[in-house]
Amino acid sequence: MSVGFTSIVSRRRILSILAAMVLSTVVGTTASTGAASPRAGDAPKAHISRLQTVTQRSRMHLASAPGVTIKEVGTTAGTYNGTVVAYVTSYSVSRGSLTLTAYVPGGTLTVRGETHNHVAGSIGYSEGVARVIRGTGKFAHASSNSLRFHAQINRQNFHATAEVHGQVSL
Amino acid sequence: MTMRSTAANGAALRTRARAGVASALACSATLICLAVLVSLPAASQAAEIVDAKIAFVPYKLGASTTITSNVKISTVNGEVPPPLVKIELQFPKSLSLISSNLGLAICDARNLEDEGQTGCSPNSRIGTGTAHVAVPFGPEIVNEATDMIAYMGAPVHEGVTMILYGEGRTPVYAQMLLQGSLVAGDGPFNELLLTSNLPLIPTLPGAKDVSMISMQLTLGPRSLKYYKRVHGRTVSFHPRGLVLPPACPGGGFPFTSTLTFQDGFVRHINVVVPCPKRKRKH
Repeated sequence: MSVGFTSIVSRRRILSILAAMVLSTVVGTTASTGAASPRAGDAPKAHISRLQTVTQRSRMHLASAPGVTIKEVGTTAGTYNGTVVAYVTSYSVSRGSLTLTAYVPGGTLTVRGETHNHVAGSIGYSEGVARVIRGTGKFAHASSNSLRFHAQINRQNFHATAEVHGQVSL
Repeated sequence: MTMRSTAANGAALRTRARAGVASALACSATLICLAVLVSLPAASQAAEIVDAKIAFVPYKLGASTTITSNVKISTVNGEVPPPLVKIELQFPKSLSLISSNLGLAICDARNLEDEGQTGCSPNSRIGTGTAHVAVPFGPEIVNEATDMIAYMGAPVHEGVTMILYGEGRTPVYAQMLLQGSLVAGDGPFNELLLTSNLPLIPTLPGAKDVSMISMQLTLGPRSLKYYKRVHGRTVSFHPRGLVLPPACPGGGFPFTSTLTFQDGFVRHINVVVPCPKRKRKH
């Protein structure tokens, strides 16, 4: 009895080990291919991230009457080409924030950062470090918290330029 | 600072004094601050009494505004107050400059010294005002009104600077030029900390120096006119002023100032512009 019981347990262990091996192989394949064929109801897929250095230069113009927040729209070029919308908000004479959303083929990427501002005559300067706060499409998994930016605003007509540079994990 | 004064009777009194850079917006701010400094209680140590008022015109949160200030200096016994020698001013945080277009040009103080008001572009003006001074001529006290203009000065270490320029003509011809810079402040006060050493303006030998007894100053687009070129023509426009935040800070907008008089008396003034009253919806 005892021998017979032992052999049954051994077979079950062998089967379970084989099943585990097969399952792990399937999961491993899915992870390495990065979710090739999405289907409704599929389990969450693994995502392999890669770093990309991004440099964007944007030229914008005023989109609405300036208040504490200035809305600027325009085009962006560099690593990606597309359009851009930026909100420049002032908390005080020297502090504020910048939120910039780039609309490029394949998705959108929104970055936000606190700014240090200063004014010299007709030009207002705004600079700081931004992080990715939102992404869609191919930027859905984008992340970064070290994007350096600086912007210049012509205070006479509120035309603006902005440069963003840094590495983004996609 | 640079100050020149010449007695109207032809007796030359030309003085040039230079002081270290004080806080920028100081000058304008000074006036403004003073005004902002709202009302002061009666002096406890010295005879000087300072009454200050400040307001935003128009007062609409989230919109451009002009800061108006009105300061009166007097004494308990009715005598002419001693001259001011130093002013420190702090503005409330949350005023936005980058979204305004005040001070599109930069004024060089040397041009003001050499050429007067014509030495700087109208687009560098950021405020205007009037100062009333008491000029002792022997036993007689003569009051004189001096027009004041606040200019955007060259930035220092990325900080905004301001130049306050005054020019009196009768009975004493005098130019007064004050410079100040905005530096970082603490607590509810932001970078608008203004400090300015005021030059003494002598009158006649042996007589007392000129004393300021009141000052009205506005900082903002009110009464300012800028110029720009459009399709080859010069057109005028009103600049946008400092922008108020969309929400009023708790307790209102605080201003504070410290005035130091020639006799050593120091007056601290706190003025708060209260939050606007909420309109009831019907």
